[in-house]
Amino acid sequence: MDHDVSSPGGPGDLRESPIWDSYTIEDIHTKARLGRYRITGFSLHRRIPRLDDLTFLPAAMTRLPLEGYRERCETKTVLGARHGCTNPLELEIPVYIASMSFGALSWNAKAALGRGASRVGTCTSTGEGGMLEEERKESSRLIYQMTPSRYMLDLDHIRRADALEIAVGQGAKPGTGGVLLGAKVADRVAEMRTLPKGIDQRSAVRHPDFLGADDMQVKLEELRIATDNRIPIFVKMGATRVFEDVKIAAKAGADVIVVDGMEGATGASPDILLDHTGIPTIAAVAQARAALEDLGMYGEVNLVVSGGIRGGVDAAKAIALGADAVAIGTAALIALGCNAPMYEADFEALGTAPGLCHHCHTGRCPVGIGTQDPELVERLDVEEGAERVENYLNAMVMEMTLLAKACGKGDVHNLEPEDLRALTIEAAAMANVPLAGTDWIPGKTGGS
Amino acid sequence: MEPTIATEIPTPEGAAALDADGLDAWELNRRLKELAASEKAVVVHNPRARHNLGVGLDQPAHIVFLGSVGYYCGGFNNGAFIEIHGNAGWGLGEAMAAGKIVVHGNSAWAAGASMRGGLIVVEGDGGPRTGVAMKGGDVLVAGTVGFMSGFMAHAGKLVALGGAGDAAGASMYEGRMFVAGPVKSLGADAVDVEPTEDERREVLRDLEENGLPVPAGPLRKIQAEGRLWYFDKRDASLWRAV
Repeated sequence: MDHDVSSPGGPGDLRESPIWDSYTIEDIHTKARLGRYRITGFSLHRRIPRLDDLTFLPAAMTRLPLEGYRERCETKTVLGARHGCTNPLELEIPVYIASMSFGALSWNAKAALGRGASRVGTCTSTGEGGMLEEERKESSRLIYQMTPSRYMLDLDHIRRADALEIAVGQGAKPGTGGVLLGAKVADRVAEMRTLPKGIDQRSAVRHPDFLGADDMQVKLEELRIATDNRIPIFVKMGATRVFEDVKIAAKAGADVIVVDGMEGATGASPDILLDHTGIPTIAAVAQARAALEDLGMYGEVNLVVSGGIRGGVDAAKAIALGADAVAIGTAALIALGCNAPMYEADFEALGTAPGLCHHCHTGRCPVGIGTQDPELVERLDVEEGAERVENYLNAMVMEMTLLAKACGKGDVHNLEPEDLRALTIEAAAMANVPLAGTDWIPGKTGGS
Repeated sequence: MEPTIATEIPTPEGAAALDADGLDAWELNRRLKELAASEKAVVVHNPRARHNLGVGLDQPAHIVFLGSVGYYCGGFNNGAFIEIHGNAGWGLGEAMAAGKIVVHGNSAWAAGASMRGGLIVVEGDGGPRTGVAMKGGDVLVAGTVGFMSGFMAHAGKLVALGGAGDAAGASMYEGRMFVAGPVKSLGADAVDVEPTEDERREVLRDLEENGLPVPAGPLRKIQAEGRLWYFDKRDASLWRAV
């Protein structure tokens, strides 16, 4: 009997195995050389259910739309009034710039984000690297983020903040601390973080002085006393057991809860965490709302959602599902110039190209955003960057109000789950809205 | 170590008095801040181990608590001299930048957490994670310190005269830990070295200035070896081990 030595597909069969695809083979080769897991920046690289899988139901006969260019749609957003602080965070728009550290970002990227955000009346956040004076100066409203590493935590800084955020996790890599590789631990970053210059910093994941909800309750009181209850306190978490976690944070006394879905990006992370931890934003926002409703605190405790919010459409959908506001990180960086088609030789030297770069972790950002290298930093002009951020935020708001008015809403916060339908069964189940053309929410309604 | 709590507590002459009974933490702190701004010293009666006492003080006043305090006493301290005639709960002097805190008793979990400056003196024992995430300042403990003390200390100095629990000095950066007495185990990346003569003199001077005894046995220094500082495969065995 002849043995068939040819490939099953015949000569020239170059079919890729769905299990051992070219990425997997390259990944194993690389780890066999490195002897460790891989680090990368940016966001996940896999398809997951997301806000794109929802569609709006604008007004027709059952509702009246508002005139798109002639009637007003309110966007003002107040966060953190729950405990009667003197100055809840008042934003002109329900979008702000997510927490990203000085260290992960250059000083001028931070300054440009602050200037751009201030021009549209919204806020930025310090991220975990301490309060950068340039950012404080440029930001009319600034959230001070307190992470487990507590870099440069200072009474003066928290008193100069417009809100405090206790970070217990982030969507890109929940359950782990921050990563900042040595190329970015330059002089000023090292000084602000009290670190030896050039080390590969892997930040703490647990807060040093509280563990559970009872301790956090005491901690929140301490922070309110230290700031004379002048400003609200946010608690930020990666989206994992959202229903339970949000309830605990709310009961512990958070004024605002920030839930960061698995699409949340990062300056550096073990790559496996980006693709394989957390739940999608579309599911997180629905669960967070359900948790607050279960406690009777929906509307009392504010909800901010982040993680893969790319524009006004995503923002409007997140608000319709239950968020009071959204935070954008990667979208704001792209507006600044991340992945812009310029300095192409430098992208090539990193083994990537404009539009595909996720090399924030290297500290060699060709456009001067995710770097501490003085020559690269100079490439980002603060004023030009601020203008692009301002324009982008304005565009987002126009998109949001366009959708809200089409749905007949005079305030973007009046968008509600009923204004949405799901385009996939997964999205219907996760977002808790009916599949388009049906009244079926998998696991909830019978689909009669 | 059993701390000695005096039956008759000396209080600063001419100190203002504040009775904590009947006041919640908000009102107590408000009055304390007011008094600290106008008086040289304030004696707080009946603190009854309540949380968040003496938080965010930025005046150089002398505050005396006549009894134990709860969590985060002296948190964010920025210049006050705080004395506690009793024990202190979690996070004593957390995020402190300046000033001094003396505990005439024991301190619980995470005393001096993420402090950046100033001095904490504990005349009894320190709990687990004493000096965790320190960014500066000094913590002097007459007795033992609990497990994972000095964990991830970026800078600063932690001295324990009665020994240390498990995982001492785990994953530090440039924090320095000096221990007399037994160390149950060293933490990840921690090494035990002979202090230099200058360091020995520095510690003895600190002890003398703060009325703490000269250690009976040898003084050892625990510091980071630096094998967790770089993400290099040569250290992969250490990452797996921790």
